[in-house]
Amino acid sequence: MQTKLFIAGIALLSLPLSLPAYAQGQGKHGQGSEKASEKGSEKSKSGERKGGAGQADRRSDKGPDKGRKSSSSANKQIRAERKSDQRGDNGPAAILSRGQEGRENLRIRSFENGRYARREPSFQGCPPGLAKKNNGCLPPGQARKLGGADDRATNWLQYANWFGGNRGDDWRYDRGYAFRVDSATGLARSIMPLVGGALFSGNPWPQNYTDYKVSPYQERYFGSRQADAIRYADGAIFRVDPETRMIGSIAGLLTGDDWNVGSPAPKGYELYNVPSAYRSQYADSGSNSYRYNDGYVYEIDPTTQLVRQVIELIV
Amino acid sequence: MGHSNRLRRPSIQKLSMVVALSAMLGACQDNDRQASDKGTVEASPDSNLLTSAIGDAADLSISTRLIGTAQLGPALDGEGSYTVFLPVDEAWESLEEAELQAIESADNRPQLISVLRQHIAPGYVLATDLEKGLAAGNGVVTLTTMGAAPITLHREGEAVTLGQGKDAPRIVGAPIVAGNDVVYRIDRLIPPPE
Repeated sequence: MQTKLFIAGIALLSLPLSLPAYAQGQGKHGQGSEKASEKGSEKSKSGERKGGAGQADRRSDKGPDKGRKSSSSANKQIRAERKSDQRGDNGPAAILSRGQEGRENLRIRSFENGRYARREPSFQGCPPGLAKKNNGCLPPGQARKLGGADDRATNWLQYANWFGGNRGDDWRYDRGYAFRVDSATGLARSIMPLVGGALFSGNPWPQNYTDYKVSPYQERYFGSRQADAIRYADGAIFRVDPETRMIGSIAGLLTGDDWNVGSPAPKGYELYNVPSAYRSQYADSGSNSYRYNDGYVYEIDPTTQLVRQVIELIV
Repeated sequence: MGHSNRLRRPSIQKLSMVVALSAMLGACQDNDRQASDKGTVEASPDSNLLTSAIGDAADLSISTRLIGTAQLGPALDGEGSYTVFLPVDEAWESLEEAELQAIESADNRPQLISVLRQHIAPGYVLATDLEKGLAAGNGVVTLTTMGAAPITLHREGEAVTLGQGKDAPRIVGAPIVAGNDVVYRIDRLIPPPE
């Protein structure tokens, strides 16, 4: 069972994962509409913020400067749009142009054999203490119970993206968690809480599981200025009560695609997809292409297909 | 019918049954599919909230319910921008009743979310963007997703399909534009990546 460890951009957990029994993975059921309703008022605020598309304060030192507006002219436009904006305090903030700053916390996925592989941090290895307590790394018998060779290729696993090149070979699913089982020892050597399972509204954020803090920018983008803490895991952004650590809701989904200034744009962004509020500002032209992903807009050189800069949509 | 993957243990069998969706759909649905691709029709904004917009669509009631079960409403209604391909009710109804019930159960929620994520792409892709992309790509474009693999859209005459072959999902009707999001109806589920 060959497994390529995807390293770039991923900080693998080194902290012990103490999962207080995977039974905690079962949260409340069917709260979606309720949450959506709650979101209504929130959306009205955020919609206002996003509605007017601020203007980029582009740095001239970011990548090739082909056919872009000068900083001064852009700023003039910023001021003009701000002046005309009637949305008050929640109006569009100036868009900052940045490189990779603050994005190091994002989990990056790779593309292997026609599918994505998301190398989530998870507990690696099985410390004796946890093994004895049976609260994470499981004894051989328990591991086999999770799924032997006959259970490896359940169809639904084909939709999941945390297996990488050898998906299903040594992963098992049970009650909200994915377990990677060492075939030699039968021990679970990695455990990953899954969105919709352990990571779900009404459940506590898994104890001792590394809190994947998102970048300050994405905290603002997905947090909607709420008091909730924003956490990331399994390709999703969660709102978490900072005091009780209870998961409130799924605030966003992320691709985790790897965008880097000076590198080619990731696969799958052939269609123009900039949100409506920013289209007038970031429209494709002969000299610039723009694509949206995970809260950012990326400027791409249409000739070379290299990413020129990363643009934050709010401040 | 796609049920060849029966497994020994009931729990795993159940899971297998739940998400053996593509094969099941491929067999259950017939070829009397609507070919009324109206991809070039640009819908006007229907609502600021995706969940409200699809909640008003009579043919998306099951997709709406499943998004509620998965509690993805706040994410889709939130700050992020998404293009969502939602199977119409007929697509879901082609599943066996037990299978549809199973996919809505709390025990299988991670699987449900995995399936739904395969139907969600980042950003705001209007029909005009899709048409331009297909024209530039000689009828084929690849679209990244939140799921396990990208999807490939093909121009098939007047229709746009997700993937190829007679069982490939097809975009039907006009898209729904809601806030930062665009929703395309499709007549089958997107199959899992091979």
